[in-house]
Amino acid sequence: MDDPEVTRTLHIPEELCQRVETALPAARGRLDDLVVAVLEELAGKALEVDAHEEAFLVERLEGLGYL
Amino acid sequence: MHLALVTVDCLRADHLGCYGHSAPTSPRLDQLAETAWLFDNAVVAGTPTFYSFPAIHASRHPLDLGRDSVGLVDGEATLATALRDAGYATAAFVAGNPYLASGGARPSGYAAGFDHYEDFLRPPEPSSDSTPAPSTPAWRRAARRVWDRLNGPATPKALRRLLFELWLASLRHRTLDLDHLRQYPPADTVVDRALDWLGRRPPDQPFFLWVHLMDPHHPYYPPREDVAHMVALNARWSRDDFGPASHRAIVDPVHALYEAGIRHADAQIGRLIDALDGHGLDGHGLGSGGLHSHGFNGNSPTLLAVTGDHGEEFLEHGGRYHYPTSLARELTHVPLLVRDPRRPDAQRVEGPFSLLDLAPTLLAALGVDPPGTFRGASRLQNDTYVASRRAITECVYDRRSPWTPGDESGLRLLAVQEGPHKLVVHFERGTAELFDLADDPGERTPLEPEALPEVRGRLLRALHEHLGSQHSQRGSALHVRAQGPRLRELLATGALP
Repeated sequence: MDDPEVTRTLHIPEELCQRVETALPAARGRLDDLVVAVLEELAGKALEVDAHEEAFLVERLEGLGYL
Repeated sequence: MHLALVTVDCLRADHLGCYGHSAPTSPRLDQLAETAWLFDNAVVAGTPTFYSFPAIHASRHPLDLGRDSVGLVDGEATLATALRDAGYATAAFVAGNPYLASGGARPSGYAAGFDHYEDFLRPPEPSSDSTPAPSTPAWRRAARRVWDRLNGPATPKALRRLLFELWLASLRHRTLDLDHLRQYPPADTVVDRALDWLGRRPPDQPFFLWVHLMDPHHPYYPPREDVAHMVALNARWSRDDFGPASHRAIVDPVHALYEAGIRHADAQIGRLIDALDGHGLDGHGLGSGGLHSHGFNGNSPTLLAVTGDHGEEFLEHGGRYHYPTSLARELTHVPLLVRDPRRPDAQRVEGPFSLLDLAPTLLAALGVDPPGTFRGASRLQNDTYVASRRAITECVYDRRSPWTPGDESGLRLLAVQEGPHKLVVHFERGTAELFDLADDPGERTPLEPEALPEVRGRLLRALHEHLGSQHSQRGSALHVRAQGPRLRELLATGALP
């Protein structure tokens, strides 16, 4: 993010927030951090690149009859 | 028992006498090899430095935490943290490699666990209102602008070559300072500091000493060579626009400078070994601050490991230096010597040994439990050092600097070695090349695509499992983002897996 001070308000169901906080007690009151981390991951190219690499290996393995 | 780990940047295994090199680059390491376990085929987990050291210190693959992870993350367990927790005094002397920085704008994380960490990186120049730096004269700035424009891509290549030759000729009339030209402190400076620490450390406490030397790293400026000659060679070698024929014409003298750097590092490693062994101190520059005067128990047994973080290219496959554009042997095969006083019947260890297994193996030799986060395993079995099951090496293709945004999202180069076979997958080019290192140690000619389908399939599956393991870690734990300070706090609580 170029400017972390510029933010947007998201609306997440309260019940969902509570369930996450129950599962991850340390996240209580800090769900913003988790959401930012997940969005940064999704916004990057890493998942796309990972998928391309895996598809290449799967294709080769299929070609050899291993999958 | 103490532990001393010596790592040498850019040190190729095939450039040491004990690995069959004919030039006299390594008399002290060759001598060490007579009483050390010599690993025939030690393989780095990544290249260059920023992809190699996560495995050496934290026993994890460099991309385990995601492509954007550089160095170690806060709280990551390492060889040093494990030994500090076990009561060792710990110190590191790292010859100015910015990817191993202890602080500044880009701390690498490797200082964690060390009581004392010297990275030899120059602090920023202090600013002083009373003594402002003299401003560059206007004529000089203008001349610089003209010079840069003349050397830019708009200038015909032949004219740029001519300007380059004129610049080289002008060097004859200038005073060249080796210390200024060399980017890293020489090994004697680093070893001096390490010996000083050894002399001052608590005498009754076991220690872990890490020394990292940069002498074989470019620019190649070994001591006692003709400085102007070295400037010219380094400048020619660094020119991307001169083409392969120009580089081939000087590869031998450039290579000789690289070998001279190894020779200097070797001599200084010899000094360190002499000090660890408690003899040969006289005449090695240890004055009143030397080890004896501080009560260093030089006869205490020290487990000593010497290795490299990656190799160096001299056009074998067309490349120079050690950029992550290849995972050929000249970049991935490093020496590994382990002298173990408790296991003195040293042998040659055949088969690939991944540096991912180095830290857990050294801890096992010392009788210290490895951290649970280590991905590698001890290869010490029944008092015998053995090879790894396989060795995986990875990097993001052509990611020359970890600090350039966007570079991290490139495709991987991935290699796996098992027995004599090595499979290199180049996702960018869409190739998967299998080599038989027994017949083709230089990886000159890949086997035919139909050859050895079982071996090819087994190695492909190993790489598929490797990627799957990294993906599952990232999806479940989010620690790919762990370098973000706020999330790091969350992880530190242990609430996230």
